[in-house]
Amino acid sequence: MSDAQVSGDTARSIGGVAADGAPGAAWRYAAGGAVPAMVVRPRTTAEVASVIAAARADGLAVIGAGKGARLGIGNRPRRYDIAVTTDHLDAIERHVAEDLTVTVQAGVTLEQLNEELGRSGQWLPLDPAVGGETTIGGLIAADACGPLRHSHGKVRDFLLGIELVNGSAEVVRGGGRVVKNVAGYDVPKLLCGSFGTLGVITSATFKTRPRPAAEALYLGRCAGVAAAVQLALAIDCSAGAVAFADALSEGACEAIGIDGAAALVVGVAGSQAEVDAESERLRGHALAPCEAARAASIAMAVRNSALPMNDDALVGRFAVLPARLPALLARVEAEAVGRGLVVETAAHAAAGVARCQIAGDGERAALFAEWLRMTVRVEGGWVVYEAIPDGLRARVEAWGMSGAAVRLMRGVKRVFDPDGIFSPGRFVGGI
Amino acid sequence: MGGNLYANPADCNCAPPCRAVIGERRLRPVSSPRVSPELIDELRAIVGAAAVVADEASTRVYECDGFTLARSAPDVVVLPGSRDEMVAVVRKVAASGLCFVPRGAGTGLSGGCLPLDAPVMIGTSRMRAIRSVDFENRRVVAEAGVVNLHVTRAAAAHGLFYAPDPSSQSACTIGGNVAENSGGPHTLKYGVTTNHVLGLELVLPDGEVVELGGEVDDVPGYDLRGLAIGAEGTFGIVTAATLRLVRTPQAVRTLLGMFRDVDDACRAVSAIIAAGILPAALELMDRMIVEAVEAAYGFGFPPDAGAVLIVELDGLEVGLGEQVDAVRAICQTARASEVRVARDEAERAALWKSRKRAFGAVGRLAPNYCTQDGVVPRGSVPEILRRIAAAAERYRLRIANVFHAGDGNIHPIMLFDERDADEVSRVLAAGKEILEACVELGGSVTGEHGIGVEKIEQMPLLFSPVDLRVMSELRLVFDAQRRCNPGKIFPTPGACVETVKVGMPRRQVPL
Ligand SMILES: Cc1cc2nc3c(=O)[nH]c(=O)nc-3n(C[C@H](O)[C@H](O)[C@H](O)COP(=O)(O)OP(=O)(O)OC[C@H]3O[C@@H](n4cnc5c(N)ncnc54)[C@H](O)[C@@H]3O)c2cc1C
Repeated sequence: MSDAQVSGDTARSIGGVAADGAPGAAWRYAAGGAVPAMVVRPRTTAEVASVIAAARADGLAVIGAGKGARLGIGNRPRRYDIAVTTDHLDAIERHVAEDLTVTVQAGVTLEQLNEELGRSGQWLPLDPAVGGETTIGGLIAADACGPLRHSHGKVRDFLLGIELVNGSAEVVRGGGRVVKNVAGYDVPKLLCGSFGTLGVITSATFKTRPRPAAEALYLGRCAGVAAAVQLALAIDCSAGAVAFADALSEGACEAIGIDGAAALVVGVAGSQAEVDAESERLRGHALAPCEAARAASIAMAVRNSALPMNDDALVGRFAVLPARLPALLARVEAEAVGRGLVVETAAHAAAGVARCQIAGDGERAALFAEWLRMTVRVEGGWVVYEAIPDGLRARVEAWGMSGAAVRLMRGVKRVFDPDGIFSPGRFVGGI
Repeated sequence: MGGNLYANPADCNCAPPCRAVIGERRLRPVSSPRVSPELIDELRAIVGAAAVVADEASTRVYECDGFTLARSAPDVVVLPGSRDEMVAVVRKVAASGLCFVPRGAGTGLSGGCLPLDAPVMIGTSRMRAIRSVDFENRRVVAEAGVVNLHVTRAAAAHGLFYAPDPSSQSACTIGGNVAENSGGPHTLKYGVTTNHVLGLELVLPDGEVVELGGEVDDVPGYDLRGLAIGAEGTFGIVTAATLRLVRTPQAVRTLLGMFRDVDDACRAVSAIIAAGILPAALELMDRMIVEAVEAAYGFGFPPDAGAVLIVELDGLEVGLGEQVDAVRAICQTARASEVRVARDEAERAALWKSRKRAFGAVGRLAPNYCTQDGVVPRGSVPEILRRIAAAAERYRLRIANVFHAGDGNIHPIMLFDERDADEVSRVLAAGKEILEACVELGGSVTGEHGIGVEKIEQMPLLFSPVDLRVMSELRLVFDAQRRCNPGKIFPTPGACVETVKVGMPRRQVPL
């Protein structure tokens, strides 16, 4: 990477694509605490390629962006000149309802896509926070998922094909458009959770699912978040028609309007008969049905409990074997209290995934973050700090990933982006 | 099928040029270095004499996998019994500069473990330990040589199963499944291998051991586990995998729809999907298969059935009756002559046995058969079946169809006699045509059997030169010298194959 700056000329346009001159446009695309010098909104894949070609020639660093909902995740990029947004790549190209597949441009939001699929009784069963702000490109790049990962998995389980512009400004395609396909390497998988370091995703093909006919929501109050996770395990969420089971600690409950120390929120989906049968079972575990009027807003609040509560929150996400989660969460709470910190936790209980929001003195939080990372590592998991307050960036690294695999990852990065123009330094191992 | 893999001698970049061409088939020159007696001794020292196969009569057993049209025996077959032995073997082979090819059970159908310029074959048949079973968290860590079905057996008592179930599951290995990203009848609802593998222990071609993924799902960084699954053994040797187990459904209903012809059966398939029903499996057998299965196993299919559709529904007991009724009604609307529901578990098991052995049953109809594998969008299944029938007629071949209709994953089985060179070349040509039709209809040239050596020629139909270059470069990240399983997936110069010789006795590794 050269030391080239975005010059006066390039500031108005790059690669023949005009920059967004609106004041403050760049702030929306801040990534890991860095703000780009310019924002461009190409209209076609070819325009994306021409922006990348020009950026590469000028030695400028680029991040592909949707609506900016998850640009905060990751380390501060070493350099960040241009945000290339996918706003105008907003077509649902092809929904083949009878084949349960859809090809969609990267700038379409998950909400828009599911609205369209819903017309045929289908959906892409992924439910990350802020679905209306989550573009398909961002969904893939940030590996965004929500409570439904318990029953449906993650974006990697639905992504069939991908189109992207790589660091050499070439259009690369991987996978295909049919539900089963093992021709060549599974390139689409590499883009899941790649956080913009391999290219600008322009289009993707997914398999879709039929939407369940009936849904219901159940609530249980618990003494603490560890107890709520324990309850989820006792219910045995892998049996029956449990779509998700999320445990929330006090602060997160408050946001939803549930009072009490902690709660378990269980979503059920299936045919009406299945949902009714589950009702019996869940009542047996002292869970109460949530009235229909509140269910939608509670479900949304559960999804959004993944978001940082405020700019000062340090948010760590990790996964461990589900059975280990209750004891681990109890330890985490005790440790935090002992250190004079406040921790709020939201967990996809049955999947063994938790997000801890840590608030309190910066120095103590940084030390606690280290402790948490080591403690979770011993349990076989990895803590990713999804939100790091600016004041802690120097102390807390986002990924905490090491090992022989990182060397291979650097090799993968070089294949797609030999000059390192995409999000340099934002990702694992300094990638 | 090999398409025109070896049809055009001008495509041969071998130096020295190929020794001989028989019909359309050619013999590979002995260009790759041979295994020295010293190396064989050193390998014996690592794994024990009994685990090294070096005499010509015995290595012949390993000259092909389930794709029998291409053959080439390795100089030596090494069978390490543990990860540490594997590492030592791979290091030793690396030090000798030789290429090697991983092999599981050899049930692959695209020539994936054919030794091409790879004189050393490393087999996993002695790595059969299930390292751990964690019922609570529904995880199994299995060594690469563990047979697919054995994982489910280990879990069944706890009400769990391993979902990917290739029809070869009583023989094929977890390592082979990972390499091919294998599917099976139940992948319609449950997904393929990649959806059920959390972590891999991979021995790179230089002997370094890397962990890809892990026991939990959220490992930061690129999804290298996802990339390695389906890499057809070109990244190194997988020695163990962490697998996800699935809860055995509370209830299962298996329906059999008998139809006059495949068109009617396909209409039922489309209507089931359109109704928002997601069966666990949706399998179709055409007349030739039904007759062969009936002759071999006497399951009790009506003699005049032009097509049989197997629909398996699973889930909670309460929801199933409704779905069974819906499927029955759909089949009847599609003019099914009869719809049966398997009465009990025994009948259901017998049915699946007949489905899973359909290949074998068809095998009795001719000296040889070749299973083709392609995918089309579900709605194009009737069209591809018409094209297969047309190809059969034009090339004067018998082609039977038993396939994963719910996924649009076709498996035309082409019958032939390998002693008839003309018929072999017609099989190759018809196979090529069918694959091209799949691509034309928006599909793929392989849904689960892989590219191997068989479909290298078709890769450019699906991918641009840039796409192919990116993939080949990804391979170099793991295997910078292309020493592990060379000559597969991507067109590379000098990759000619020693193929079956006319009149040579047929050898196949028993399943
Ligand atoms: C009758 C029959 C039915 C079949 N039905 C199905 C089906 O329904 N669905 C389906 O998907 N497939 C099916 N297959 C194909 C085949 O069984 C699968 O591809 C299977 O996964 C191969 O496993 P294997 O252990 O036999 O591997 P092999 O054939 O030995 O090897 C396959 C490939 O994997 C590589 N490999 C093997 N082990 C390792 C390892 N440990 N590390 C790295 N690479 C390795 C080899 O180099 C080769 O490239 C069927 C085959 C037959 C004969």
